[in-house]
Amino acid sequence: MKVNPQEYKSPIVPTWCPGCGNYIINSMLMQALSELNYHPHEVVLVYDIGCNGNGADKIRANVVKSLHGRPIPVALGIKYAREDLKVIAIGGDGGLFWEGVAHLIATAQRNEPIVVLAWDNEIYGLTTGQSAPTTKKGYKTPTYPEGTPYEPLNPIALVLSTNAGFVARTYTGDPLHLKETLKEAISYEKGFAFVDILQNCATYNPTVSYYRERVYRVKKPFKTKEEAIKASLSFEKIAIGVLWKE
Amino acid sequence: MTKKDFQIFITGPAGSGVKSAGKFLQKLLNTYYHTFGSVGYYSLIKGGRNYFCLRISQTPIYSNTYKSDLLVALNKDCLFGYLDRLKPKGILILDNTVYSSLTDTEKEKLKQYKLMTQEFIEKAKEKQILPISYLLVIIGFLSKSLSVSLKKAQSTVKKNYSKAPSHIIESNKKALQLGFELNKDLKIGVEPIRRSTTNKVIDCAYASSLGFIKAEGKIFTAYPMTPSTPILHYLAKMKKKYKIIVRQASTEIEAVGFAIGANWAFARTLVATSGGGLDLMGEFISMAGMAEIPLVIINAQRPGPSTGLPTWTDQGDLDLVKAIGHGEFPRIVLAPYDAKSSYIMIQQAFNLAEKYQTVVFVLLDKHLTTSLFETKKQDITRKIPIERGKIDKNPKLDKNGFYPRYRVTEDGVSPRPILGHPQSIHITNSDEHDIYGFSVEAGNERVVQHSKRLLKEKTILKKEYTPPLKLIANKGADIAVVSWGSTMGAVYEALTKLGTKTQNFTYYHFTWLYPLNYVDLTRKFSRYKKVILIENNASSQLRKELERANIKVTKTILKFDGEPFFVDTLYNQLAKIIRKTDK
Repeated sequence: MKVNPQEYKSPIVPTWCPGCGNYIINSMLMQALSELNYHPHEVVLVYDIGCNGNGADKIRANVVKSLHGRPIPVALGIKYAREDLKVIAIGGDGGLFWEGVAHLIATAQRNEPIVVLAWDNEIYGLTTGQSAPTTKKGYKTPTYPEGTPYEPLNPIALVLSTNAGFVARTYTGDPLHLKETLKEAISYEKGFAFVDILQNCATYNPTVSYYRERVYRVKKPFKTKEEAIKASLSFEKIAIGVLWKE
Repeated sequence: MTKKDFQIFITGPAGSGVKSAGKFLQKLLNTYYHTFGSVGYYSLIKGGRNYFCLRISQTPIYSNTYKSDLLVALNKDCLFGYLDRLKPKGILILDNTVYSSLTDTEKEKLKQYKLMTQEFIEKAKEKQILPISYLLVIIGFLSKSLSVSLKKAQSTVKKNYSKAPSHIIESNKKALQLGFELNKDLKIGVEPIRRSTTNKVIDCAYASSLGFIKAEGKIFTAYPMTPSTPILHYLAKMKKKYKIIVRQASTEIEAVGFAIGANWAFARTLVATSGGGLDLMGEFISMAGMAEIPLVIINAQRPGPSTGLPTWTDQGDLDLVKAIGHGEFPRIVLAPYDAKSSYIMIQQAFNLAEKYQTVVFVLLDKHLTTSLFETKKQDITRKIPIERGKIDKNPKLDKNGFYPRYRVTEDGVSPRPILGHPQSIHITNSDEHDIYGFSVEAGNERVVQHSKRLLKEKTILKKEYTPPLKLIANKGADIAVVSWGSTMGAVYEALTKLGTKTQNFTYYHFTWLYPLNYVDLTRKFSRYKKVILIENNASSQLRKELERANIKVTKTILKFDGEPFFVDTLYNQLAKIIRKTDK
């Protein structure tokens, strides 16, 4: 019998800005989990701090809201204690790629059996719009009113350079693609599954049209790491889909 | 002339096998005497001045003395580096090659000692003994004068180095034999008190590891950091036998985050580190306080601040563990003082952490994690009954679809629902939250939950607080001597010796350091005219706690040179203070 996505519905009303990509990610996550036939009690979601972390009580499942940049080690500890549960770490670009980047790299390198979802809006939203590791060069923020002075970090290329078994990119402009990608990541059983979810920050970094003009779908994972890395490097043509799967 | 007590000090550069040969000698002699062994080493892999300091006695001992009766130095640098540790007229054993490398002025400096030079290395070469075994020639040499038979020494070497390849074991045996042959007239003169014993000599890193296994620990995780690293090594060796998971973390932050996750999921998980590593864990420790997750951390102290003296000992982190982690939340600090108490307190720490869903620190230090304590077998087999605290095994969801994880209770402890049950879905939150774990903003919910968490400290004080141990009690004494943690051995011995001359003191030793029952302490100490506090740090950190109980510390004996207290020097310090008061 199919799990009803309503099982994942929390009574708490989200506080995200109108138009925030988080609404789409949250709802697609609920659908992906239910379509994969997981009941909420079989799932543990470990959250970062930030706008994504404000979603910790906006979904009904076992939830640990951890610290900024630290959902990965907590998720890992839970997974080692309870292999039977599906453990998913959720973090923002600031948390996963700066504050806690050591955890991302070490866990990916060791191909640890957890799912990591990056809610990547290329900005520090909850702290009112400062530059993030993935902020585009030149983008004006309160920290760099003259424009962010450095090139952005490339999370996909970073994770591809480790031993992560599953690496994917998707975006909130295509909810169905997002849902299917989440389903593939969550069903991945051979190790570390990483999904970089490009999303809109309606208030500080509206990117809906930017991505719509640039994304293209990769139908199946690349055969070699080299091809996957090469495809991941371009910001002008943005490959979405499962880029690498072992 | 027979003696009751004898201390052997062996020093050589790192890589010469001083530590392992010293440990071997202690294991060997433990059959015949009471023993205490400690090691000193530099933060390097080759060179420097390592030592193994082995004291043997006819009566139980718990520490070393500063001055030794016999010194073996494997090179000139070590000889003059540690010559002060040898008593005047003490026995000095040197290899010929070391002695011949000395200048005349240097030789002059050795005149006050009983010098014995031997061709240890030359003879070992002749017998084709491997260089790795050279030190065992000296161990054999010493053993002969300590009631050990060659047969016993050789069988112990076989047992001790059981994993070594056979040609090394053979070389070790030959080395011991050569040592026995070379020893014609060394007189040590301590009669053995027994012929065999089941007592073991173990360090507190090993004892803590055994305690963790006994506590039904499931996962150990750590980032290597001296002097906590031996625990990682011991447990890594034990993991197969006891079916535990041992993980080297990529950072201390990963280690503690991992432990929080695993403990949250009911797998008892231990973390060990030293001060600097603990600093890194601060934010997660605060999270354990807020989210109410059990957490046990061993902090093996070394002298700070910063990198400090990485391989030496100190008690400088009491203030740290009392304060680490922002915000207010309950915590417990325990301080073992030997192998037995380390073994027991790790078990207690897990019970306390799970019962009160908060962080428990176990304070060790380099002296404890690396010194070898004589320990009875039954002292490291006793199981403290497992207490896992309030666990709701039949959870029930509220109407909103969530289990109320942070329900308000009379003692401040909310039941933790079992995990993965359809009726146990719940939120654990590092944000301030309501009873369901839903995030809240400023207001009454915060007051309710914060008060609930802090109430746990009152419950801990009421139900768990352990007053200081009264290790020596003298009726009508005017003076209280106070210590905590690893200093106990030296303090206890020094006071016992002093007890033959004066009884005007009582000795209290703290093993439970936080939270303290100040009312109880005020009552206990009000009768004493003087309070002497002994600590292995510079600022007397326990004093701050005693002052909160209105206890006036009249005298402190502090040591912060990186070495532990020694019985002989401490005795002199204590005798001066206490006997002066006597008059």
